[in-house]
Amino acid sequence: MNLKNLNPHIQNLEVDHLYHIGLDSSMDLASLFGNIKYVVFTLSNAEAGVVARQFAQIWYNITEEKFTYQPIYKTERFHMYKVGLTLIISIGVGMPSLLIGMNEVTKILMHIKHFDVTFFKIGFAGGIGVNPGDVIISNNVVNGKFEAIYNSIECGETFTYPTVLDHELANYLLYFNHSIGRKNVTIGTTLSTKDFYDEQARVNGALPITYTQQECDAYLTRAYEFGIRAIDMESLVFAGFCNQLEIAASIIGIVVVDRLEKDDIQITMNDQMEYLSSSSRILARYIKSICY
Amino acid sequence: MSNLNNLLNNKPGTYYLYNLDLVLNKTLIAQFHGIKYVCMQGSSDRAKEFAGKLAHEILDIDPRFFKPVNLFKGTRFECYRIGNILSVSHGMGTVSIITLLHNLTKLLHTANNTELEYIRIGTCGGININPGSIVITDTSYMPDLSSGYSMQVLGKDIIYPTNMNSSLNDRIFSCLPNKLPFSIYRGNSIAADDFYLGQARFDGVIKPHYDEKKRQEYFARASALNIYNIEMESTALAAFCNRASIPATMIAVTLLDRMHGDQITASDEEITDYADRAQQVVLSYLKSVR
Repeated sequence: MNLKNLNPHIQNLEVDHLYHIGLDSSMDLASLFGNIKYVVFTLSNAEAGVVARQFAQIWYNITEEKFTYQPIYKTERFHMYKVGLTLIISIGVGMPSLLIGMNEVTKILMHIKHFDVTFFKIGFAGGIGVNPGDVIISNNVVNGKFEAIYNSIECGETFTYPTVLDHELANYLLYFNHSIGRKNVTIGTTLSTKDFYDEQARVNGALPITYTQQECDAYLTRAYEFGIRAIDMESLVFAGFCNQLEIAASIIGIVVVDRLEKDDIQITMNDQMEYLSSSSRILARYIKSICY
Repeated sequence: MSNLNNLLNNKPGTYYLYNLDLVLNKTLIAQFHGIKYVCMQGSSDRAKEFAGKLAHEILDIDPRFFKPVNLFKGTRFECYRIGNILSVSHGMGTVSIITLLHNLTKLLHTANNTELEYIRIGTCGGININPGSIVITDTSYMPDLSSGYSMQVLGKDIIYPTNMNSSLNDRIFSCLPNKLPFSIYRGNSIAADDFYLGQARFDGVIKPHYDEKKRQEYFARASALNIYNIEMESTALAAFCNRASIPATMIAVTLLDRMHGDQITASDEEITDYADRAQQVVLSYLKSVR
């Protein structure tokens, strides 16, 4: 982590309230989180639960027949689980919500002066020229104009941060997956937008559309040619944040629809959760292999 | 009358609402027929709690014996129905609320609800007003202090207008009880995509580029635009509802005065009390229109 970019003002606070996760710096955060080496960000609370179950099974060799796993602390906004050296947290939908979660999790680490941490984001994505169930590992994230930058308005002024992540980590994950043999895992670029419909070239939103199906097809084809294989609504800020603090990070996208074929996601929630389980097992096994 | 995507009526594929994990079948359509008002809040807990209050005040149902049931299956958002009112959660941020708005509006449109009103009941930071004040939003601004909501559509920038519905605001305003133990302001709001740097806070994890002087200037410029509060959803709500021709507004309560700090230090009881104020303003309106 690049300590120079951490906010020095935090040290002046008597107590730092991490409002959205319900913790504060007067608590014994070191004993709770002192051994964390990995943070896995998911979107929905259900997804965090599924990932936590896979991690628990692989890390401790336990299943829910013997133990139940409860999210820890405030559960109004996000759900947090801790399994071994990994913190798993759901952060809701979209970049603004993720950014709140990332800020507060990183503030925990800052308070306990624990800077050797790797972040992962795992979640569902639209695919381009890939099939539902495929896994896309990303080290390159682009905005709707295919630029690898995240624009952030701070106190009214716009700043731009790069969104290209560490290639090595993505390559390690891909290489490691060979030993497990989860099928259809590749490396690709993620397109990250602030909207599910207009910004992702869908014609099935609620609003009257301002473009044609042909224009959508042309846009998505251009995206494919650019190397984009996954589309989501969080990765741009995830990469921008991790780059500012130089946190090692990687993104795992699980494809739920091939957007070159259709807009609608038609696979069942059960299938989605099955894909999420098998994808999070790659991560859990990878973490276990380097810790033991 | 709403102005919606006319492609929806003849596209069978649109019958699965992915973000809600719901299939648009006859049972579901019946469940969502006859809706007029949609109240939305960030957290699912608050949406559920408000549903309990609505049930009590409007249907005279004792919330100690009856609990409202979540009508959505997915875990991203929750939804409760009380008569012709829905109490829904939208998560945090513009991206989250616009996802909910598309899905919910598709559902309500398919269930033949043509006269709708959307009201966000929010929490926010105030600019130079006391914690616990209510702000009714006229127009929503982006954090660079321009009004509108910017989208990148097929690689091009489009800015949509973000004025709330002024006659809905007038109606809500006219239904307020005479004496209220807190202040109500009608003015403008900022919706930021970042809780920390985007709202000029000094307590995010990343070092800010600005100093206290710059921040005071920023808040002064905001005040000059009649901006009273900062939150994270109103631009997306206003832009969506303008495009859909659905009257909408935001009633938000300030949890702190940003002129005096960044952290939300109010106790849980105070926050519950503040959140209740915004809900009561909307409740007064909903009771009057029945």
